Formats: sequence, structure tokens, C-alpha cells
Amino acid sequence: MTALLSDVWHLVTLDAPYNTRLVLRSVGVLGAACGAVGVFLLLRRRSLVADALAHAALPGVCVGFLLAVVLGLDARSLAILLPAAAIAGALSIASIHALTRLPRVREDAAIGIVLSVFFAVGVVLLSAIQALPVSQKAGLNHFIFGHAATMSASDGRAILIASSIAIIVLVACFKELRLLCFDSSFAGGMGFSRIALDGILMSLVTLLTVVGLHAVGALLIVALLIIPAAAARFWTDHLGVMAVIAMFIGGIGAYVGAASSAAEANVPTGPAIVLCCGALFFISMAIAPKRGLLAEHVRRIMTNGRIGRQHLLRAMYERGEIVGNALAPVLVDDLQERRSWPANRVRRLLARAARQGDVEQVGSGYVLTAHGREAAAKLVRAHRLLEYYLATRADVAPHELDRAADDIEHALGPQLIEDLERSLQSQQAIRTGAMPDSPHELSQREGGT
Amino acid sequence: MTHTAAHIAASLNGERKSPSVVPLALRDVTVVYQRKPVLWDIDYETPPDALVGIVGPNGAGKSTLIKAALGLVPLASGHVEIFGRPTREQRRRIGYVPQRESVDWEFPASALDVVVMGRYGRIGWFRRISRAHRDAAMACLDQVGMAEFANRQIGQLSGGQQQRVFLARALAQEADLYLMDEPFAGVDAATERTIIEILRRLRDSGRTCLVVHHDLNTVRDYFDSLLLLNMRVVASGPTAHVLTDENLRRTYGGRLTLLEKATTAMAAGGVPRE
Repeated sequence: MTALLSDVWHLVTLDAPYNTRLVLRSVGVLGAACGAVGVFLLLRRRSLVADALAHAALPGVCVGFLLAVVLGLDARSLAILLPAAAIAGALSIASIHALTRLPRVREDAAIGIVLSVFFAVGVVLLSAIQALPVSQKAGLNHFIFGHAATMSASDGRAILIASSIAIIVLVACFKELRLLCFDSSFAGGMGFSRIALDGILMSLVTLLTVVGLHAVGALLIVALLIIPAAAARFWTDHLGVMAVIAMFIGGIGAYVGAASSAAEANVPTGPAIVLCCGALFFISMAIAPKRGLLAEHVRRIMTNGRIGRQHLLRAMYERGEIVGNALAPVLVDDLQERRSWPANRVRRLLARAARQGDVEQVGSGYVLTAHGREAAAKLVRAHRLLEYYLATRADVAPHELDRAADDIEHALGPQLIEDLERSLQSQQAIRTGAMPDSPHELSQREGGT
Repeated sequence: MTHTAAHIAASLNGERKSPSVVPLALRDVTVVYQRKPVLWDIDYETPPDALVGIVGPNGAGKSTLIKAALGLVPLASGHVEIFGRPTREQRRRIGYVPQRESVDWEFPASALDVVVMGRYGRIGWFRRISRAHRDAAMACLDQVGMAEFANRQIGQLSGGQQQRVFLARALAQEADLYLMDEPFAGVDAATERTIIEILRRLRDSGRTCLVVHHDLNTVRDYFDSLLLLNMRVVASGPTAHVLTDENLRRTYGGRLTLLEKATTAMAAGGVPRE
């Protein structure tokens, strides 16, 4: 294990033979290009179509190889393999469209059918090629799972060229592709050809798929397109930034994955890269500051804290109304009874409120500070306005009013409260600025937790 | 403010254009989806500089009619003229507001990003978005009262605000004919007022707006002219003439099931035996 890690480390730090270094670098660049193209693929919701296209590249490459052998040409030349794969890819997309037009085949089924049939054809052709007595077939069997270690320097250079082309095209068509992905009807209405734009996007996918077949394999290359893009979405709300982040994630994932597989010859490159990208995806999902799960959790805790404070202040204020003395100390038991809170929750809320200067301890009970009472009065008022509103406009029964208002009152901003006041102006109980009486009996026990 | 931005503001404030030809004409237009007719032999001309409402039940083909005018759906027969010429020659003169639900509002874009898209037709392929175009888009956001939300991610806007962004994007197209698919659907009262005000200003400055509308209560108040649609044209013309109980009953009272059945059978190739 330690030996493997140190091998990977040597490769990652480029302490490797020239050929390996070139190949690893080029796979990293491929990952970056796939990440950027994948952003548009993801937003255009063409992930599955791209997967079918990648699977179809396999039979395409095989047919191209056989053709070249028959014609006596260089069978590993991209000049032959690329067009062959592109034709197969186009054929797969056309098949999906044709199947979808049938009355009883939905798109997902059509994609599933096309993807598997094309791939099966590819695998059959591949075994046929393995049986042929030709020399150039070496390595073709790696096209399913990918095997970076057996790539040649010229394979690496092809990847570098294709990736550069992809990035240049993306930069040139950035605004058109953004428009296509966001609102293709609007794009069409302005005269941007949707067929041309989708064609550009799918051409880039084909290009990267074909040059990446040897390194990543037909089976999993779609992961290199989709996972970095999906991971990048957690980090930003800006399309350009998202593309750059996806490039980093794809580049790092592909590079480290390829290095690990180069260090341990039995591990195919495709799965190694996907595992690395997958790890980066989960990290992004967990810790991304804006949309990550952790950030969301923190936000939820803060919201719960805010809601708890509002409930506490309102309960204390109304307790004062019930006993007819706003300055009478409120005991933990009183509050506990009132909102059916566990005692330790009440104590925790009170302790926090005391720290924030909303309440202060008097003997064994608590009273609202001037600041706390002001805040509480606002909250109680908003709550009652909402209760009046629900009673008169939504026909909520009196005994359900408190809970119904409870569910939504925390979302009330100043603007909404003003709107509420205006819409209730005709009612006797509502006067601007004054505290309305509760529309229902203030019982000892009410509300939820 | 740049020239274009000022121009947009000025044109919204009543600088009249002279109407000469019919803004939108549909001639014998039939559209078929999945072997079922959606629009059947539509013959219709919009009056110039008017606010025109398209009214009809769900599935009447209202959205399809707008898409047909934009050249977004293939016509089974007939043709479309925009100011007397084919749609593809007049793209710059058409503004479009699609249905709000037709896009993914979680898309990574700001309100301004979306409005700038209205300028893309003028900017053209491969060209960068210049400062002037950005300013023009800002001016349009300002027109709909959304300038302060320019940099807000669109998913964080309310439904009404999203609808305003779509309207601002159409304004950024600086068109002469506006096609709008339910711009009033699910918006708050304030947004509805803003939108109708802008539509009236567009009309008063010599533009034509064709608006798919659902709320029959406001039809009489909002629109000069109506197109009652249910797969075919039930009635069209000035609102006061067209909006009768009889016409509404014919529009909403049952679909043309016979026609539908017949064409489906035809498409399936089965001519029933005697």
C-alpha cells in the first residue's frame, strides 16, 4: 500500500519517464477540457445522449480500424478513427431521435436501447479484430475501460490538440451556448440555429470522446464530462466561473486517476479517474460554501435558532399579558407548559436570549429587557395580524389560528407586515402601531414545538 | 447612458413608428404534433399597433401559434409573414417572451445575464458583449423596475420578478412585434400592473403585442383586439365585438373531437370501411 502510494506520488510529482509524463499531462488536460464541455452538456440536459454517443464511438473506431486495414492505411491514425467515430456517434443520435418518434418508445428507453446495442456491436467487432493477424491492433482492447499506461506520445499529443480545440470553440461560442442551454426556444426565435449549436456541442463531445477512448475508455468517459460539471455547480452561480472550476476538478481528477492507474498496472484508467472525480464531487457537495450540504445545515441551524428566539420572546410577552403584569418574572415551568417544550430546550433558549440581551434573570425567573420587550411586541403584533388575516381571508378556525400562523410568521419581512396592515385596515381591532388583542383565547398551552 | 439605452427609453415613451403592413399574418397554417393536429387551417392577421390577446382553453394551440409565428415549429401547411416578409428575414423585428416554466431557473445566470440575451441577435455570432449592449440591457431592467436585482441569481427571484426579467429581455430585443406567452401567469398584482403599463406604452409607441392570456376577467380591460382560438380561429377582431358569450361558449365549449379523430385515423392510414 505504502509502495503504491509512493509510486502514485512519484507520478503525480512528474518524477517519471518522459513518455509517462507526457501521457499523464495530456490526460489531465483532457479532464479539464471535458469538465468545461460537460458544463454545457449538463445544463443542456444531454448527459445521457452524450453517454450513448461515447458508447457508439467504440464500434465507430472498430469500423474505422478495419477499413484502414483493408485499405492498407495507418490503422491508428486519428484522421481515420475520428471521422468513423463521429459518424457512429451521429448515427446513434439519429437512432435515438428516430426511436423517440415511435408512439410507444420514450426518450430514456430509446437512449438505453441505442447505447447498449451500439456498445454490443463495438465489443463484438473488438473481439473480431483481436482474432485478426494484424500488428496495429495492440491496445484496442483498452478502449472499453481505458489504459493510460499503454498510450503513446502521439496519443498524448492528439489529446492536447483536441482539448485545445474544444476550449477555443467554447470560448468563441460561450454566449451562444449559454443561450442554447438556458432557453433554446428564445435562441431559435432570434435566429440562432439550435441544430447548429447542438451540433457544435455534440461535436466537441465526440472529439474529446474519441481522443480519450484509449485513456479513459468508452464505458466511463461520460463521467469525466458530467461529474466535474455537477461538482462545480455547488461552488458558484456564475456560468463562466462554473466552467473554470469544472476544468480544475476534471483536470485534477483525470491526472491523479491516470497516475494511480499508471502506478498500479492492473487498475484500468477509466475507473481510477471516475473514482477521483467522484471523490471531488462528494467533497464539493459537502463543503461548498454556497450550495454545499454543510453550508445548508449551518443555515438551517441558524434559522432554527432565530425561530426559537421568536417563539421564546412571544411566549414570554403573552405570559405577561395573561398574568396582567409585563414585568412579572416568568419561570421555566410556565414556558414549558405554554409551548410543550422540553425543559432543557427552554433553558438553552433562555441562556442564549440572556447572552443576546433579550431577557435577564430575576430570582428564579426571567423578565424581558426593554430591548427584548420591543422585539417581542413586534413579533406578537405580526403574529396577530397574520391570525386576523387567516381568520378573515382563509377561513381558518379559531382553535387552529395560532398553529397556522406559527408555520409562516417567521417568513414575514417588514414589507409583508405592512401589506398585512393595509389589507386589514377596515377591521376594528387593527389600528396602526397598536397591539391588537389576540383573536383567540390565550390559553396556558398552545402552539407546537 | 449610451445611445441604445437612451433609444430604448425614448421609444418606450411614445416615439411613434408608422405602421404600414400587417405585423403578423398567418395564412392557412396547420401544425401537427405526433400525428395530431394542434392548429388547423389558421388564417389570421393582427391589426397594426394594437394590444392583441390570444384566448382559448388549455391545449387550444395558443403557444404553438406563437411558436409557429417564430418559426420554431414546422408547419404542415401554410406560411407566416412578419411585416409582409418571411419570419427568417424579420428576426430582428420580433421580441419573444416564452412561458416562464419553459426554462430552468436554477440556471447559473444573473438577471442581467438573462436580459443581455435579448441583445444577442444584434451582437451576432462569436462577438463579445460590449459595454453598450450591457448598458442597454440595464436600461431594460430599469424599465421593469428590476435594476436593483441585476446581479441576483435568477433562481432567487420571485415568480413575478422572473416574469419581469423575461419582459426586460424582450424589451432588449427592441422589436416592432412582441409575442408573449402568458406573461401574466402566476404574477403578483404589482407585477401585473407593471407589465400591462409597459405593454400599453409599447402599443402607444406603434408596436404590436400579441399576448396569450388566461384571465377572462381582465381581457376586456387589457386588449384592443382578440383572437379566440381552439385549434382553429373561433373569432377575431376588436375586443368589444368578439368578446360575446356565444363566442366564448364556442371557444371553451368542447373540443373539436370529430376533426381530431378523423385526422388521427387518416395519419394512421386507416380509412374506415363502409
